[in-house]
Amino acid sequence: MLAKDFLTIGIFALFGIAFIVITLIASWAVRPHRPSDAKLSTYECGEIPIGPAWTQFRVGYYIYAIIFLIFDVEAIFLYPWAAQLLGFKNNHAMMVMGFVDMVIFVAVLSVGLAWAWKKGVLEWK
Amino acid sequence: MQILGFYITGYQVAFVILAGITLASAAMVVLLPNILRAAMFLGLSLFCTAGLYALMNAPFMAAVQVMIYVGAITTMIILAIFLSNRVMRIGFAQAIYNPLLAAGAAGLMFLFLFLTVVNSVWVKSAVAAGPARVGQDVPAVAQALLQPYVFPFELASVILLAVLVGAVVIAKEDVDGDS
Repeated sequence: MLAKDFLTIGIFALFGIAFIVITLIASWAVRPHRPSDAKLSTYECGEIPIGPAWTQFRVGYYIYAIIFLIFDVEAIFLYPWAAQLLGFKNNHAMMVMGFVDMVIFVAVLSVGLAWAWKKGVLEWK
Repeated sequence: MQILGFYITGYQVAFVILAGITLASAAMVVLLPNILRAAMFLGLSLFCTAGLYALMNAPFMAAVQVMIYVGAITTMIILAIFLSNRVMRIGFAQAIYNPLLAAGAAGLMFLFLFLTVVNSVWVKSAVAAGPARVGQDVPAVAQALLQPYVFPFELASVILLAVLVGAVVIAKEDVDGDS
């Protein structure tokens, strides 16, 4: 039964979160508290950070994120198609049509990826 | 399990917990002053929505929700915040100029959506069909994609292509400008 599988996941997640919280509280309760300037710096190993951490990102990340999103959506469409295509074993025409449909779908996106590649978008400068 | 004379199932307990976290984190998205934290709570809200899908025996929809909305869309939103906060000089503060007007607009939108959903054909047919069985959703989605909705399915690839081209055209100039 499906609900039972998700119950297992839920209990697992609950124990996982509780483990982190309890560990943090326990270490907070047990550890000594003697802060100094060196200990409170961002990187204790000696790197001195320049400027704030919340700065503007390079726009290059955004293109990668968009391309990731597009092929994420493609994967969503591919999964049920792949799981179901053999289910049309008795309907040969349907199977061929389903295959051709997905080939067209992937081909259109591949054209976009090839174009972006040729444009040099995927190169990190 | 019986509480105060009511028979309560584990399903109901799970639903109340998930729906509660969904609504609470959605409220945090609107109310938090820091827009980046609001985006994080949006991710939590969307994640709990995935849990609600799982409760409705639609694990495929739950996986889609986590992959697309929690994984990709939340990342995109956070990236968009980091990209725009300097350029637009708005920082990370959420601008709430008129809470009453916003609440009114949200209320009207809720009314519109509620009435639309209640009167829609697909809700009636879904209610008539009864609860989904386990393992029903993936074949159903595939059948729908390949038979009645094959044209919208192919159209989706063209829309994704347009998104890719649009993003490259808009962002490419800046990439060139940086180097």
